[in-house]
Amino acid sequence: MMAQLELRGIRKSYDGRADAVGGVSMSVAPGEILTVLGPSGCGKSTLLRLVAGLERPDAGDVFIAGARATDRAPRDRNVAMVFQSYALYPHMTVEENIGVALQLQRVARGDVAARVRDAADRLGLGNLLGRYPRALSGGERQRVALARALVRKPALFLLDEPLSNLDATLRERARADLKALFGQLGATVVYVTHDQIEALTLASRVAVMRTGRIVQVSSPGDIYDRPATVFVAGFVGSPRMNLLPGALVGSDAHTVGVRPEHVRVGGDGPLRLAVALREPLGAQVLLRLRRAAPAGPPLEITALVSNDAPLAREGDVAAVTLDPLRLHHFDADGRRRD
Amino acid sequence: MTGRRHLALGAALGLMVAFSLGPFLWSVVTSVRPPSELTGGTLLPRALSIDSYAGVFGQRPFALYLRNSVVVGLLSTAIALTAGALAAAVLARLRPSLGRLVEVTLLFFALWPPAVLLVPLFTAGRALGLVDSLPGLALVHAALNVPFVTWMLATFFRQIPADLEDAARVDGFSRLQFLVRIALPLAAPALAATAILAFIFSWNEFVIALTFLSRDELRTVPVGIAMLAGVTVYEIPWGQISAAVVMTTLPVVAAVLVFQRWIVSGLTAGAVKG
Repeated sequence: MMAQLELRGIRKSYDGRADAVGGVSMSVAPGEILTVLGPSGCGKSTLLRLVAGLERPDAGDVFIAGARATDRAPRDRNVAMVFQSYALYPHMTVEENIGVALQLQRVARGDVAARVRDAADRLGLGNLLGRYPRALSGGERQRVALARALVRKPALFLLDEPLSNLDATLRERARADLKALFGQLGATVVYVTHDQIEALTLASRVAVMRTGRIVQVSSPGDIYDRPATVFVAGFVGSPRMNLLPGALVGSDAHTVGVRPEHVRVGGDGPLRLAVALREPLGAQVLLRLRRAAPAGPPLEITALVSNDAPLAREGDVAAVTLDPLRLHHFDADGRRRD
Repeated sequence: MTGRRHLALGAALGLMVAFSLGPFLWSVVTSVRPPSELTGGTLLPRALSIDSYAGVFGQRPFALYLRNSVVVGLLSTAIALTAGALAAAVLARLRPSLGRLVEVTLLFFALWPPAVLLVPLFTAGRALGLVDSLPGLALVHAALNVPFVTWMLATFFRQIPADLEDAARVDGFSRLQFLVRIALPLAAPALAATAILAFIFSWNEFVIALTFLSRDELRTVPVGIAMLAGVTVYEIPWGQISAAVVMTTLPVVAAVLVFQRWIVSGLTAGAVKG
């Protein structure tokens, strides 16, 4: 099927500094939700702005719905964008905020009203149409921003950290609503976030970015189970994956990674570590295990164990085994070795 | 302690108000004295008279002067705000270093006293046919106000979040539509304040109006007042001058009072980010 969005060798730098986005190529299929995940400053927002047309790439091309859009103004790209700050027009009512883009497209007044109402109803804003943004809660503003995007029925939705200004409980709810909404609409979405839970739960595919480049594009499961680089391994997953020098655990790989839930504490084995710190997380406990200095080079491993696991008090010394089927091997350049 | 401080503060304020308003009040009192009392020396008039007002409107074309001033004031304010808003919209989005340079340059021109420019302005004005024409004078007043207007509005536009402009561009607003439908409504308080100051400048401006307008029926109020003279050169019609001054001041005060409420309500509405 023809890609809804295709980027070819997109490159962008500001004022001669290092590339904010350095040679990104990827495509998004119709109906797909692609999340772009990366630490702040990795270029993910710039990438989104390049797709929207708010920035011009120094090199490369943007194709939207099969047509070259690189030279088109934002308004001629048929994309809608939701901003982290929501960017609602303060002097317009909710109804005007949602409808103004249609009005600018010279959609007939009656149609505008009907589509605004439809979008507002989908997002539960039906009784807030006459309000001004300043009289809305954070969650309501976020939904107005979303309604403003979906009323246009764009070829592509671009969302830039749309949930990060909400508090934690609201965010969880909004995340689930978003997923359901985009599923219903069959919308094509590029969703930028630094929150890995958002990235993994919403996505059909996740693109992990670092210093202007995409390091891995894969399904959420793949990103978690088969990280392509040491960076992805360490960045995705909480608690963080243990990344150990290969030599220390008897491997010829440069780095060996193992997630805390795949570290077994107790039983027997050659590796004996002391519990240095115990952090209860509710159903599970995070243990920071450390090798006592005289026994060998320093080594610290975190393990995620069940709440009622034995030998989980601080000071306990236990045999530690790493699940051999769940080890990730990386070369000296940080790439996964299979 | 607090009581005494309030008292001191009240006295200081009272002194300030008296100092500021004294001359104006004296004009008001002078304007309603009967002609016979003008040199009488009493603080308050023994009788009230509208002779001075009747004189200003009857013997002089003062109504015409007022009309001319309103035309020049409104026209120059409209031109200055339009040009200034367009310039400010660009200035607000320039690179900070470049923007600073342009701003300082603008301020430099805004501080230039108009009188210094009089001769070149008049020469240019005559060549362009702007002399002895109200729109011509309005254009000159507007030109003198543009740097100041640009500077005021740019400061305000800069506070409009960049996200808002980006959202508007994606939504389909052109740059001009963004300015007219989003930036200017948000800048309404600044716009009102700037408009008042630009209008007052034009309303009070004397030297250029005097030079540019030679025909009596085109004169603006400040020039008209200066040209009020008695029957003989030895007679200065203080009553009529005072009446004219009062008539000139009151509309401006009224306008400021009306706008002031709007400015305050506009400030609270616009300051809260969406």
